[in-house]
Amino acid sequence: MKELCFDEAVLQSYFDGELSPETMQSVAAHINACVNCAARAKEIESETELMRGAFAPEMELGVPTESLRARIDSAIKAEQLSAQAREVRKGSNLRAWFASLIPGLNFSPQHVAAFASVLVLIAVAAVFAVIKWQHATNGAGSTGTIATSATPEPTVVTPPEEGTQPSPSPSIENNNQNAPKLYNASGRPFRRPRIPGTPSGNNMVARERAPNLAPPVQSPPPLPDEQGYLKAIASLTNAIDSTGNSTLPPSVQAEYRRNLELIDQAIAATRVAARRNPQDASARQFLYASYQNKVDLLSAVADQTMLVASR
Amino acid sequence: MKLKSLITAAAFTALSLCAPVAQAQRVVERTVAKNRVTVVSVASVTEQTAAASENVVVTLSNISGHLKVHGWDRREVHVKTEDAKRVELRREDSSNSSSPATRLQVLFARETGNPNNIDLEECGEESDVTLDVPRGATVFLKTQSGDIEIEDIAEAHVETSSGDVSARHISKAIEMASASGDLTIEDSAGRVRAVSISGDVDAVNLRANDASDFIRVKSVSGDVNLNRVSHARIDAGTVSGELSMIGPTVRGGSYEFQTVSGDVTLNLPSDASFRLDAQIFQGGDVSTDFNFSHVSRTVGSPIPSTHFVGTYGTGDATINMRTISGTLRVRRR
Repeated sequence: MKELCFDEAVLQSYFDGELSPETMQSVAAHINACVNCAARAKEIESETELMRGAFAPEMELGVPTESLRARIDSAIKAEQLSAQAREVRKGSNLRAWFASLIPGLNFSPQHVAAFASVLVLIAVAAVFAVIKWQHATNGAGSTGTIATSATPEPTVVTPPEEGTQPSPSPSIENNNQNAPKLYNASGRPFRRPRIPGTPSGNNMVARERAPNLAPPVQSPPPLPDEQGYLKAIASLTNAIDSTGNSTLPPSVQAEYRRNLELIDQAIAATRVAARRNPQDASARQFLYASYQNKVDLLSAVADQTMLVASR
Repeated sequence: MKLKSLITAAAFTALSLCAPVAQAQRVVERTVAKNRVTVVSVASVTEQTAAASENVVVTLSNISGHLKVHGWDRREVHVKTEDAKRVELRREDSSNSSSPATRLQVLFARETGNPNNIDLEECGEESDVTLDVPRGATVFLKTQSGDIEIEDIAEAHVETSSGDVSARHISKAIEMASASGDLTIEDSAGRVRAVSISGDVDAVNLRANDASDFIRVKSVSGDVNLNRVSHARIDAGTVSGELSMIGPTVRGGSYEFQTVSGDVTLNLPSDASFRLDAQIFQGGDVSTDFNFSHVSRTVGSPIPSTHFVGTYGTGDATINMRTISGTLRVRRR
């Protein structure tokens, strides 16, 4: 019996890597066997490549990962819960106080928070105006830090990508117990490095330029044997790019991309572990094995592109 | 009179309409006839035979079509194709033409449109080819598509883009590489190397000729299955495919199994004797129904990995299994 062809949506999902492994395999097998679907697959693939190329600059920008989103969500939820808890504790007193000020009005916690925010903004604006006025009075040249009682914004810090500088950190350093906790990639509480010369303790110090606040977090240095793998990977990637992998069957191209992504994820995860624990032999082995997997994959694809190109 | 004029006009109109139709029909008939002749021409069987030494090296490149390589007892190389215009066995050695050839290249002619100009080259059209070689021969094959069957020869080195490759009764060594085809090697001996991107790799009933022989099998997303392989050195891996081995281990053997996300399953006999070192970087699990002695199991220190070390029997073979996120199983048959 002839196998039924897949519709365009399934083929598109196949190239986007959105199908289950079983469905991926059956689609790949079908594309290999069906001339019509192979032609349609090639068409979809070229369109996908076109779109990918067009959006490449945008896609290269830092896009929050799922885990980052999850952490942001959980931090926001934690902040909401803690705010609610504070409101439960203080709410009745505040409401009573506001009620005594404006009888007949019933404030919800959200209203109280909004009202408090407005007050804080007014206070900050007033302080800012005073500073300006002092500058105008005393002349230029005097700088300093200003203690502020502003409520800190929820802050979530994610570790920087390997080999990249960390993004500018928030402009307020605080040790406020109510602020959401920060976590690094391994799930441990994130400890922001202490800046020499700045006070510690409960002081909240505001600065005008955030990048000056936190020095760049040094990513652990590469291990000695990594260079060899990186050179081999660069060389093989160049070979594939120069020959062009578009001559490979669409199913192979899709498998290549899918598995390359898997290996890159493995390298990223094992690299962090190995660089942080350079004395750990098994961490190094995992990293080198991941690199070797990439070398093997690229070698196989390079050989195949050369074989097809020799046609 | 008017009626006569009308009939004449109608007749002329009908004729003028029918003429092109008839003409087109004749063109179709001519084309059909021409194609019939062409088909007969293409279907003609072409073959060539050359005297060769027992361990002749034969090269065949760049065809698309079914290829069958078969070892026989004659000191001859014989090639037969049913599709190419012409086939030639070209000598590549420096010995004189009267002695048996030690190196031969199979060349096919391709239709150029000019009957006086037939290109002999490595590239053939879609061609089904049968190649008979002495049993001690070594073949180097490069094909684009179409399945390849090889049997009863000493060595085979195969690269194909999308065809399946199956090899049987290879006595010294085999190397196979494929992008999407499945690779199968069975009932053979000697060194084995197989690499596939999306195809499966099956190795069944293989043995080593000496201690230097090994099996190295890699697939990216295809499965790797090793069944009754008695080499002392085995290195198998996948990225996302499943990896399995069934059969006994060899005393002093060294077994390396690696995946990124694929599972590894070993089915070993209850009288096996081995030391197992299994590591998972994150997630996954190590499961076994062997009762190991000298067990060490470390979880999550200092990296988030699971590390299992255990000895079964006297630990005669060494099995190392490593995966990033797959599951590792060692089962008793």
